[in-house]
Amino acid sequence: MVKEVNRLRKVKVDGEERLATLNLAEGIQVYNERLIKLNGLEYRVWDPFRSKLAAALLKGLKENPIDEGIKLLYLGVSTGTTASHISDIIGEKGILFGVEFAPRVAREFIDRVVKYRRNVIPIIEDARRPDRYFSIFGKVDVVYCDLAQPDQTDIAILNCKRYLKNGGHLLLVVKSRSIDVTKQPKEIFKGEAEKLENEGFRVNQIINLDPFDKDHALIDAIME
Amino acid sequence: MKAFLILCEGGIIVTDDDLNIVFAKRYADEPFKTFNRIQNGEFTPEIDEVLSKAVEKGFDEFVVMGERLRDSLVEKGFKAETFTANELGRIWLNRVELMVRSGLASQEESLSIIRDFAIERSEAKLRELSSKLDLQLVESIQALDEVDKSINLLATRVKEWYGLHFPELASIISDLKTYCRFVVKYGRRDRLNREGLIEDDLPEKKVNAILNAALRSKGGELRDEDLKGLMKLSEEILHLFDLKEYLMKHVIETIEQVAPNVAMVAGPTVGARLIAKAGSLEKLAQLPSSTIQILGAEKALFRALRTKSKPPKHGIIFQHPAVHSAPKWQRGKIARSIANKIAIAARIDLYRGGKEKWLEDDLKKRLEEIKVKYSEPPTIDRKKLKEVKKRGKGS
Repeated sequence: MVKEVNRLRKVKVDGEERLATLNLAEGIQVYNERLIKLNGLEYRVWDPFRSKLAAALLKGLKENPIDEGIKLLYLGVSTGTTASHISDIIGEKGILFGVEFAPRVAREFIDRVVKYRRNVIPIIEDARRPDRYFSIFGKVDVVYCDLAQPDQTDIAILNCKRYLKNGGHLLLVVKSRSIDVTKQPKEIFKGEAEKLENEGFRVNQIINLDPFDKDHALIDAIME
Repeated sequence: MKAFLILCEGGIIVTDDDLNIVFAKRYADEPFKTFNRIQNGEFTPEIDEVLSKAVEKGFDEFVVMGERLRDSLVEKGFKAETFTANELGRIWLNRVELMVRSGLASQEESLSIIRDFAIERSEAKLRELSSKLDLQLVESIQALDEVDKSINLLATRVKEWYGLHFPELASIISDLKTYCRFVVKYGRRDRLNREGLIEDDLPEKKVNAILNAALRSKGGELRDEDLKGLMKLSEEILHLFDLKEYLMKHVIETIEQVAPNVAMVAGPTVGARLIAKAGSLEKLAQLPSSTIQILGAEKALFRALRTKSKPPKHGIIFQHPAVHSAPKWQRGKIARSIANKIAIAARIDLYRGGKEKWLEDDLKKRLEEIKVKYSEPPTIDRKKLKEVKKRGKGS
């Protein structure tokens, strides 16, 4: 398939190379990010200090499973900063299910992101209880998990088993400090990757998000 | 014959037990509300129509979603059961295909119906979550603490400012409220009089001290403009004191409704702060008592974990009078027994309700026991202490 436009690309802003995504909700900013016009198309500059996915892309995520038209389940969508860029990339044919349980941030997510983007569906539930996701349908191509819970890997696995297609990707953000403050981050990343392998995932890559986020890593794994 | 009644965002889909579509019925309007009413067992025109049409087609047994709907069908004389969790999970994930196949909506329409429904459902859920009383409590105790902080900040400024004119007063009147009231009432120190001070309920000794100090004050003169600003500021601080009192009463009333047992065991303000720190009563009830004991001392805890030194004995619980008024060596034990009872109290408040007097009695008994059993400070093993200190500093 020949793609007409790059939904995700690098742009030069003030002499610096930055990531940017094609704005699906033209003219609307989500978190005061810069909007720039390129050949008549509007792009939103993607800040790697505010979005771990952007940080991972800049640090060399080899196989980016997030592409136009895919279906994605996002655990811990928070106020929707990263989700809005994913929504840009997957475009109108894609679907993003955003799971968030905390009322404060979920409200912002709905008001700032869901209302302007037809490809985003909110689910206000605890990610520990995937059986309660009412609005989800079909299986998804990618599960993106950013929960900052000590048992987040188990939660991600639970969700993948229920909703992820075979061969689909799990992108798991690991914050070592929310798992165990006393251990070295590297050890924790390895431990969580092992957990995934024991559950039948193949770990593709572990990306350290330093210097954008200290003590964070993103694990890309495939469920086989 | 058995029929599946699949209640989804777009309407009601009727299939046989092999999921072959029989027919489907759209909701007339307001899908979200209609869906909920039907699922709660109400008979709306849609479900009435579906049932009579299904009966016409020879179906006499129905498999439905939700126990309440099943019960109302049974009440009406139908044979009815609910889907098993597995069946429902499979059907539910494929409902877009079912909606398209039954002619309820096109693929694209289905997506937007599901999305609109999801937004409405989420908003309803958020409304429900944020109308919980314990969240009101969390906000009000935090407001109270912030008002208190503001009072301290502003009143300290008044002391500094008025101190230019009457520096001796600060050491005589240390209470912030009394100090501010003094500034509002008298303004300049030469307007002081004995009768007024006695009216203010100040003890004889203090009255004399103030009058003496005023005569010999080393403070400078105040311009009218400065005095005016200073008095306005002091008045606002007095208003903040009223606000603080009001909020305090409000917090006590609310926690008595939300968590009477926590309020009884921990005291209303400490209880409210614990609920605020945990996030909600539900979250507090899910915490182990060891976590409750050091809630609010996270910094010390993580430092202890990093350096393998001694962990903190108490966090917010330190504000409980039984803890901070006790001798140092008893505090850890007291904090632990209070935390134990708070953990139980929070669970009773969340799941059962009702006030349980024995919690307080048990706690009092235990506190008495600690006081007697550990009345003497422990003898310190100097050698061991040195070792612990060394470990704390190292690594």
